[in-house]
Amino acid sequence: MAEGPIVKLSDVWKVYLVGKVEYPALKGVSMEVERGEFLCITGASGSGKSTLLNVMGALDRPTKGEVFFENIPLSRLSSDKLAELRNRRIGFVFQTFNLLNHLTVVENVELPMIALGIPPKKRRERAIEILSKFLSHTVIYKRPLELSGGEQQRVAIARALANDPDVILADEPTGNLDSYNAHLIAKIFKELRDEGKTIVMVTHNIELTDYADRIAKLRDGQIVEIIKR
Amino acid sequence: MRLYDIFLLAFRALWTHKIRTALLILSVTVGVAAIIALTSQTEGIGRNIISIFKSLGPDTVIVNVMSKRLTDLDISIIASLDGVRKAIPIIREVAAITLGDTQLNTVVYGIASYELNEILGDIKLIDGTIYQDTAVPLAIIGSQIAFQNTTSQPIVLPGQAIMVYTRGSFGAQAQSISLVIVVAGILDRYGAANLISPDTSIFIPLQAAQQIFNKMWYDMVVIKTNNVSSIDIVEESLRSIYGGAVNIISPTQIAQTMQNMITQTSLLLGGIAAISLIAAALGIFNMMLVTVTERTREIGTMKALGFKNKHILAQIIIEGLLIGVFGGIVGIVLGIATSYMLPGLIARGTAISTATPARSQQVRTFNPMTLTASISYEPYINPVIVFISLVLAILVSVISSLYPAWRAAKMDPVKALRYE
Repeated sequence: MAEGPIVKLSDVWKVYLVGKVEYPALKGVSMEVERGEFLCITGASGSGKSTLLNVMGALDRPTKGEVFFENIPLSRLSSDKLAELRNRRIGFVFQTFNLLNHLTVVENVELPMIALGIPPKKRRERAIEILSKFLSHTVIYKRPLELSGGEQQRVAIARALANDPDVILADEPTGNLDSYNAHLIAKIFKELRDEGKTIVMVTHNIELTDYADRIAKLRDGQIVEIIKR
Repeated sequence: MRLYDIFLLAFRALWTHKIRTALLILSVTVGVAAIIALTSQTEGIGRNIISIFKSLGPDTVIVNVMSKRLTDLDISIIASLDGVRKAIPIIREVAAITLGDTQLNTVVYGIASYELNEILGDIKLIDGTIYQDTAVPLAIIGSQIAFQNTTSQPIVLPGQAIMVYTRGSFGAQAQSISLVIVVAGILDRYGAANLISPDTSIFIPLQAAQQIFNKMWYDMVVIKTNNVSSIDIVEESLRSIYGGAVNIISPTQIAQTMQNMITQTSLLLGGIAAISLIAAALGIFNMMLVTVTERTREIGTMKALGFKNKHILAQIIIEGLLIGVFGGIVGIVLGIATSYMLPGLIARGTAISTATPARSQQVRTFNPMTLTASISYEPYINPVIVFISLVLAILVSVISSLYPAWRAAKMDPVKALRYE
């Protein structure tokens, strides 16, 4: 295992071009995500939280600056290598769950393993094993739309864990859930942190920051405060 | 990522939109079926006609009179030409016969009984016997005359007489003749027409024909040459003797010409049918673009989960491939089924078109000198065409999917995930 932060951002800028106008979503963000911590990123809408998460997760390339994943500069990796990184080392959880509705619950969880080339029998066993931690066995062959929002988000978490990643990046994972389910999801992330996973969660919900080890506050594309709990 | 999984994901994606997928498959199916059905008809008709011409024998030359009467002297001259093995004189008269209240047009051939096998090949009689070579008007009649399109019982039997009306041919001496012919035998069905159509003809002894029609000349001569290579020599000799006074036909040459025509017709029809595949391609292209746009967020999610651009590209292309394969296979089945249904429909259509009421609703006439009235053929399913159709279907579907697949593969995952 490599030493030091698992993710490091060094003077990261992300500028979007809206028509002919440049819109800076991130303005020179530098920060580190420690291995095995639960980091919450908060801030108002448009402050750059999701952009920061996308850059951390190798979904987006910064306009300027560098993102390191275990000291590897991501700018040097091809899109295929970035896809491999996302597949093996990073798990994503989205606000709108982003489950494929034409697949069953268990098939959704198998998706990252399909991309990795794991044989059908092995990946099915692993998917069921992960799902059994979060959901009743009765739902695994249902379609996502047959489940409640809380259940769908737990499926999404199971999918994020499919290839046993080091980091889980969650973008407003409780945004579409009621308070009970929001806390349930936050508790799951805390438990995963306890198991050694690194969690980065973007949230509006201040209550949920209680579960985090550190809170990074973002304003107008800049980190304005980092609170260690 | 395993190939099996790409196929699985592609199949599941298609299965989600069953109606849309079914319509895309149908568009390919129609194109493939059209190619197979149309080309099988032309090839079937062509092969049938060619086999008929060939059944006269590859060593045959037919001489039809134009402006010269062929006499016994001419027959002797022709028979003595280099390369000629035999010259068979035939008298031919277009006639009408009345059976019950149905009037039919037919052709009466006067031919020696021992030469019948040279014209008909195997003489297939379903009832009665072959006539004797006398001046008595005994006849063997074609199956369509005897059965009148009924499959069960003939309306005339050996030993029974039929009335034949004809006009003496050859210009100024033309006169109406009515005569009674006694049926000696009934021919089995020979199928499609040829220069002599047995199913719609009446054969009587040569001497009887000479007497009845008062003809001391012949209307056609069937020449059997020593071998196929003698045909050109015999034709040349005949032209040098008779010039344009006779019409010389070589069935072998006709067969070769027809073969070329049929090949060209097949290509033309196949090409026209293939245009429907282009329409299918545009449909697939359009629908794939729509599908890719609809699935933008799904594609973004897959990319976030670690699917590479080439995986996305492969999945969409394989969706096109599956449409092509399923459409092609169903098209082949449908095309073969249609191929076997069409001859019946064509025969029914042509029967209606050639039936001309003359006296009443029940009166039917047919012209035995045309091919269409008695045309029957087996469609020929060319395995090469079937294979080409399948390849075309797959190719067209895959090519139509390339651009949508490329667009999907090149999507920015962040933008795709934000897509509403």
